Amino acid sequence: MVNDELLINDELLTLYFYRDELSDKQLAAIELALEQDPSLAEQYAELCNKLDALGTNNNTQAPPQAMQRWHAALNQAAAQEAKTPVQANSARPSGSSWFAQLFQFNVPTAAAAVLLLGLGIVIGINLSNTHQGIDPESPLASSNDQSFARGVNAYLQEAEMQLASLQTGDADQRRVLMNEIISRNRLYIRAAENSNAPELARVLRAFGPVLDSLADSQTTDQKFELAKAQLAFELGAMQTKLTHDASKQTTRL
Amino acid sequence: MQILFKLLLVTSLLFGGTAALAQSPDEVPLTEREELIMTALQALLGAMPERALPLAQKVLNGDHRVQIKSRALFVVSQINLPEAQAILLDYAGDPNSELRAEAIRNIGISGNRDNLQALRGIYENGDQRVREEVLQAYMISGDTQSVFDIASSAESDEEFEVAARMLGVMGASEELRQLVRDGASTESLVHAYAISGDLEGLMELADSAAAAGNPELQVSAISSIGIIGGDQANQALVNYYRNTSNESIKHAAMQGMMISGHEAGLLELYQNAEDVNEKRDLLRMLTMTGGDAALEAIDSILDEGQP
Repeated sequence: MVNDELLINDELLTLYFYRDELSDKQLAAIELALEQDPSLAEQYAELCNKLDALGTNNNTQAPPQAMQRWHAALNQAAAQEAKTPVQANSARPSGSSWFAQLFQFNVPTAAAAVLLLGLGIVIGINLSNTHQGIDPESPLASSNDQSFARGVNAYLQEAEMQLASLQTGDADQRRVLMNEIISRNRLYIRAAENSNAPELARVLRAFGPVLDSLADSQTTDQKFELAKAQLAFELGAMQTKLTHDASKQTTRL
Repeated sequence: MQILFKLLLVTSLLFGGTAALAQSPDEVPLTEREELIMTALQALLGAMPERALPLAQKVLNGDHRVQIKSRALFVVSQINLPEAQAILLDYAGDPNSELRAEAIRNIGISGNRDNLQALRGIYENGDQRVREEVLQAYMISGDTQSVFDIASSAESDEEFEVAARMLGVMGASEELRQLVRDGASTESLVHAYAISGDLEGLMELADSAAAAGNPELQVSAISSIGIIGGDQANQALVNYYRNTSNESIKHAAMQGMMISGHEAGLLELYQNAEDVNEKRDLLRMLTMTGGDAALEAIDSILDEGQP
């Protein structure tokens, strides 16, 4: 769909989903387009399903104001449970609401479920930091968001599958596929940075030049195959690591 | 016939053997055993670090091709033990090692502060390729300060350009602006600003270039605003066009709008222009955007004077 100012494609809708890197005017334009164009709304709903890492049946996207109120409520509830001082300002700029936006629940359900999950993770992290086997800088040790880790794992899996189908022959198909993976990689880099997962952010950044090489039609066939093999290995390796870290956290909940 | 067959067989063996010899190790597909080693290396990331590291080291010390050892280095980068970081630094510091580039990259991935600091020494003593590898490692680790330090102390324009461009890739707007405040004012900063998406910085650069009497840099900065794109950039370009009578600046602003695809802005300027030469230049730029606005402008020309 094209409106006067914006070509609304999947990439723009993904940025809209995460409320990231879009001006207020662009956000408003996309909101209006979604209200007015049923086919675009359907396209967006499908995208939300793909980006939803929680597997919940309720995929309703709460408006940003509701997200902020909900996040403030969670902060207060968690603070009361943990008997720690409440942080005064719960309003978050849209760029850093990554954590909140991964949750697609109705508010009451979210508050209860995330509170339990959050407490469990806090307890798990405290126990895990004394265990020699746990890498204290692992994505899950530093991020209090297991759903984020699941989302990253889903991205890594999908990228690995897409990579397996990538061939040097069809330049157009290669360009389209690689641009999609590159865009998603950039989104997850920002997500990792916002979720205090610097180790994961570094690995995803390291993928960047390899992805660019695969997208470049000037890359020789030999270098293409080597880059593809390298990336496939690293994607698989990180999935192993994230799954291992997740299972250790779950054990401690 | 038998002799012919034997000749063909010998030739194919020779050719096959020669072909195998002519292939580099990387071109030869992995054997089944090598595939298993790769799978085993991946699995190490699910093991305790103290168990995983010796096994990864075994691969590094064994008789394996570079491709496999490189994967082992990646595994080492994920192990948060001092011994693992020492292994990476050993390979990175060895100018004769085939694994040097991979080790430098993996120091960036591991993010170990001491090793990142040590990379500066490797940078200073390295050739252009090693220097680019170190800058990549800093990019991977998000270490904008180190790249800024390199840019600040660059001994040549080329060295400065490479480092500044990397700051652009890293989105390090504040560091780029600091370079301008420190007196740097080169074409490479224009590209770096555009890559980083820093509209304000690019406009600042354009204005300071104008104040310093550097019209070429000013023109370059204005047209590069188009690379950033978006509403604010488009509006800035229109403003630059309207607020000057300098032909070079007008042309730079038009180019920026063409790059950004801001055909609405070009069309509006075209419709408001009174000078025929100006209209011609705007129309030419509109047609280069390839959009419907150009057709609209052409249509209006053809309609002029029609009853």
